Amino acid sequence: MRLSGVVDTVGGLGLHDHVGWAFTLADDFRAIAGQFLADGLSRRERVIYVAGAGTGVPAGLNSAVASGQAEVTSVAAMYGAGEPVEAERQIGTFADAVERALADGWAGLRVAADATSLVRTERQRAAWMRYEHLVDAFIAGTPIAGLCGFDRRVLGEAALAEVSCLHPALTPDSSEFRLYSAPGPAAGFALAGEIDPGNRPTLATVLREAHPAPRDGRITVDATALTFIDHRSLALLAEYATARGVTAVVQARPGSVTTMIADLVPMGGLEVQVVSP
Amino acid sequence: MRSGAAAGHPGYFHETAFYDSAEQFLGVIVPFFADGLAAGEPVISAFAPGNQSLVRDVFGTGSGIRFLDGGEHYSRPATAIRGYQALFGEYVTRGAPQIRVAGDVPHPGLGAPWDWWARYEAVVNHAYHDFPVWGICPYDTRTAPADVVAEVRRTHPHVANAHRHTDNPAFEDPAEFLRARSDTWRDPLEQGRPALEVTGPTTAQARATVARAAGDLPAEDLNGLLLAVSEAVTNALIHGLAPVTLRVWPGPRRVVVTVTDAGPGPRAPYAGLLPAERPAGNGGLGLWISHQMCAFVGMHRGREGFTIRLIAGDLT
Repeated sequence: MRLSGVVDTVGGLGLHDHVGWAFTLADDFRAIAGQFLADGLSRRERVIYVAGAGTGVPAGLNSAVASGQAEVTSVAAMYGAGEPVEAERQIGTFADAVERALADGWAGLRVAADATSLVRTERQRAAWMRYEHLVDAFIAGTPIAGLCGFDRRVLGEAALAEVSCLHPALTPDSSEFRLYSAPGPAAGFALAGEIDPGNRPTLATVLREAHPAPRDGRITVDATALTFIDHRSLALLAEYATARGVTAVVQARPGSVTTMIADLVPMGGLEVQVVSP
Repeated sequence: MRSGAAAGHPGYFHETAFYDSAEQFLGVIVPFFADGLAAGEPVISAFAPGNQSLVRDVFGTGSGIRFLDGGEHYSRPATAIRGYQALFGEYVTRGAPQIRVAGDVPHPGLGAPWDWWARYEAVVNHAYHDFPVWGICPYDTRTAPADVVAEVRRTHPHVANAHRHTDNPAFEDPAEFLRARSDTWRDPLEQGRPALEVTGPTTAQARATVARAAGDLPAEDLNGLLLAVSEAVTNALIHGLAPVTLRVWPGPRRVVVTVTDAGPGPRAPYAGLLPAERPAGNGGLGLWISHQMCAFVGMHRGREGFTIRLIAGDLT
């Protein structure tokens, strides 16, 4: 089971977990990444630390680097020198790295990266949102775990929300909602947390840039962990589906805000499936 | 062809009647229903239990009258309008030339706050305009307070008694009536200081504040209240004037929330009881959704500005 929710620790994370970590001090992120990777070392995973500018190398990695279990690299070497990320190519790079780790006898791969320099501009973030959406599905189905660090002071609130909301787990005060790869066979995406006029623009941006793909004429949205959504934000999902000529099939709990709105305000392109716990 | 007093009248024929005995009540309602049945028109009886039994006793079973549970149908004015519009639409689709309907509109004599039902009585002149409906709203002057009777006189274009149906000279333009009106009813809980008061909350902070105070409500009541609070704060921030103040009075089985801003409140006279006239999902629905979900919604205009009062849970 992947970890989903708001977290303030990286302790106990396993393969398939994907965390967006907002930090205000580079040293803090280095320490958090160190903990995250140390857990991987003890679980016999290969670990990669992708250092951001000036964030240094976590203590305790050196002997693992010598043994080949750990690798330290730079953002430029791993992702490119500040150009918008190319999602397919980047995921291919990680897929190769996972294969090598498994071939070398490790249980999987664990990557911690300070991604701040990759999401500073609007153009970078647009590419990054698509990448995060695709890589989250990749992580969900591959023995890999990822910790993406974002410098809160460099990015500001709005940009931080855009890039961090695409993680199933994230730090407090990063984004009030999350959009991530859904568990279960329907294979759409999951929405969790709260969506209202305050962060509706972020949802609109993320839908536009991540552009989740329909399957068999529908986009399945697991909204069972969505605790609040207003009718205009729900309408965004309907409009997104309609623009693609498909139906958004939104799975929601009985008596939830999502179900109550859909009962009152029928929307073209939206169908709510009531799912009991 | 419409039968009876509404013959030749386009749209909704909205009538009241005042009575102070069962005989007077039946003197208006029995011929009203019997003539409709004789003309082959759909007849709907939506009274509270007392009056509903009087009607049943006269007509017996198999009369063709459609009995609606008045208590349930008139739980909220916005849901009553939605329910009637759907019902009238079905009858019109099936070719009904006229639909006759009568029911007990709630007021303090029947245990409900009047304010939003006063608005209902004005709004339905517009809301049912597209249907060939003849509706009688009889009021029992033994239980209806004088201020209720006074507003009933201002909101019904026609008035009936056992002998005749006449135009009501006291009828006022519904939009003007609504623009000039302010809901003044307050919950007894408001006699005490609010347990929580927040100035300038975001929508998320407002919801979190209310959720903290209202944790004992059933999930649907709480979710409905959170939707309404969120819409109220959104409207105050977008359309109102600062400062926006949220106040919460938690009670045993119910919660009262007010959101006040310094602005004049919504200008559209039918706002709240009817959805804004835009496509679904395109905005303008928030206040209407709140009216569908809360146990009471009051819209007060006063010196402090505009206050929307939202109550969830058990009103009595």
